[in-house]
Amino acid sequence: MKRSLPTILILLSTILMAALILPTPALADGGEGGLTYTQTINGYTIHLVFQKPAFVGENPIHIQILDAAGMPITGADVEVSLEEPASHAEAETAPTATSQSVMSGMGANPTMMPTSAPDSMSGMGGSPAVAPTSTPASMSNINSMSPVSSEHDQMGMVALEPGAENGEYEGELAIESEGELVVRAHITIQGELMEVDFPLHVEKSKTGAVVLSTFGFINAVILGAAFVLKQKSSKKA
Amino acid sequence: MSDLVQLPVKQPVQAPVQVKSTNLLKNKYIGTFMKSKWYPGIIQWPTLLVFMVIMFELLLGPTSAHDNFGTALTWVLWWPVIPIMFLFLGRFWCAICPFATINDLVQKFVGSNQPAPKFLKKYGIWIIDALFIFVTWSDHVFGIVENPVGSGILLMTLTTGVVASGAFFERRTFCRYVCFLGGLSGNYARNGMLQLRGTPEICATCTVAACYKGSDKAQPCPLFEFPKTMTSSANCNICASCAKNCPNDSIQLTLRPPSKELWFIKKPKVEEAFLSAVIMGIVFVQNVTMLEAWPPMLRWLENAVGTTSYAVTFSIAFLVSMLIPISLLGLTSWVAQKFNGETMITNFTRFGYALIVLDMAGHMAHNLFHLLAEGKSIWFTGLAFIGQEVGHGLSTALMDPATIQMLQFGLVGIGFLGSLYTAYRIAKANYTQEKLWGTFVPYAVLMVVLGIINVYLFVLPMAMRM
Repeated sequence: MKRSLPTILILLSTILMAALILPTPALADGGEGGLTYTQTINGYTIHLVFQKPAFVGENPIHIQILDAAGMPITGADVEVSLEEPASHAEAETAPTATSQSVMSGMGANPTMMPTSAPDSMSGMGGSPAVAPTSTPASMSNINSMSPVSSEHDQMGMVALEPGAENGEYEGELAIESEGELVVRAHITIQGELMEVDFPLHVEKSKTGAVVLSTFGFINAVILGAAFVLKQKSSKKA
Repeated sequence: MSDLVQLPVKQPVQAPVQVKSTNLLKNKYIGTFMKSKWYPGIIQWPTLLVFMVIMFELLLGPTSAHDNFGTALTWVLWWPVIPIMFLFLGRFWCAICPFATINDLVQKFVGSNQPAPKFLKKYGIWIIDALFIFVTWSDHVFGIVENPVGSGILLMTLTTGVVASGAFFERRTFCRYVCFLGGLSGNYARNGMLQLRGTPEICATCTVAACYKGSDKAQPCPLFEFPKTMTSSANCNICASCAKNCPNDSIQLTLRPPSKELWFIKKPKVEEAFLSAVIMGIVFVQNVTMLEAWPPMLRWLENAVGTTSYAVTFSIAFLVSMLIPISLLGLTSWVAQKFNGETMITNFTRFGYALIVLDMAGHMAHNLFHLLAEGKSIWFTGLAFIGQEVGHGLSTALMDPATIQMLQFGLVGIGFLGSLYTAYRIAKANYTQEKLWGTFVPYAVLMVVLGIINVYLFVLPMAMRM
């Protein structure tokens, strides 16, 4: 018994360690509901849907494109990139059009508010275009040790594939840091390129604190067991 | 260490000619410092403090590796510097390692000091081999280096391991039998330039063995070594406990040429030879995943195995990378056995040690890029850590890529020559003149092949960590 107790404890902590060694993506807030961001540009309505609130890690995303009549647009080339607002002040005071020059003068009326219904695509509507000047944000492919997805090209663009429904495009967006970011969708419909920005808030990850407290608990159990064992041994002696 | 796979030594290894070397412990400053109560604590405690800062940053700091001071200190500074340290100072890092300090602290307060489990003593190196492979695999599949939290989990896992070990088992059981970095450092320390040994003439008459058992002056050897019979630096961390304990002033700390220990391994072990081949495979895989050919290879694998799971495709590529040096060493040993009449396993085990020099050079060359091309990131993230504004888009490079590449080639060249010479010395120490060249030439060809692969991999541009 004297020997089996530490052996059992070592075994248990080894199993726990093995379970914990597998890093998991950092969830922003663990919420179940997704978020839909909606923008309108050149008469098209673009919905960007996150299945869960955006978190640090690989985020499955969908983009749905509807024309002015609400009909889904198929056959579009859709790519997204993650950008970083150069200045929030600039974004608030100097909104600019987001589309390429071919779209100048057209009425882009994106809504800025995300809605919590993932599939309803609600929240469409007109409000002034807000397009913060942005710079490329850090993407996962800067790292030497990370697998560079074949869908991430050298500019940090992620190509979305046609989804299950007409007008739907899906893929995964790697987010590396929390805070205010911009998802820029590069959409080509019948040779016409449009760029539309979706401001995105990625909340600070709590994973580190969870990991720290979990390991703290395991270590406390080990130390407690060792203390008890030592007390017993010294009493016997 | 395992006794199961010790080789039958058909011919005694020719003992090295003893060359008188200066005992550094006789130096007024070095000897006084190392035998004082301040050593190695005066370096250990600041290291523990830095480790706590790193843990704080990794788990509670910026989630992007690019911005994380802990990531920069760990993977841009410490990981590239550690093999250099092994070369010049042997396994000294293990004396000041924060995990060892935690082990000692836990042991002091709640440790029950039971003997190390027999299975660890028997299979320790295999466990280390398996852990080293697992951690490298996990890094690619789950992201340890690229993900501060992933790095934090790795370090917390090691911390939990040493806490458990220190709580129940004697000395530094974890460091000796489990730590994967300990296994790596043990192999590299054999190639190191620092050697601690007892003086044979003095130790021969000693009946105290205070170096192993400890005394009121210092703790016993933390890594279960007995300087009287010690022939390898693999498990000596230069903590100088033995020097403090020895009543006869027998302990000598001397300098030696790099790789010298590898020439005269008396009891080579297959698991250690296997680890040296594995390290070569790991250097390959670290480089291969950065090649332009990697994405097409990945797609080919995806089509071949019918899954896009990176865990599956990378595992296959990882396995192949491991198998290349292992099978090349095996093939060479099979050829060599025709000339020296020993078994393939005996040849594999004996000459596997010759790979260590090239391993170390490849490892250093790979990480030299991260240190020199991303070195300033330590400064930038450090400034951000203390709340200073750092400009965007600043270069992190300390040197231009062409210079770094030249240094990499230089290192690989030195490593190749070192491995080649080591193979020659191993052959010379174990075989008669008529068998010497027949044994050496196949291994010389192997070193040329491995050297060319390494050079080719460093020709290609590498990606950054930060």
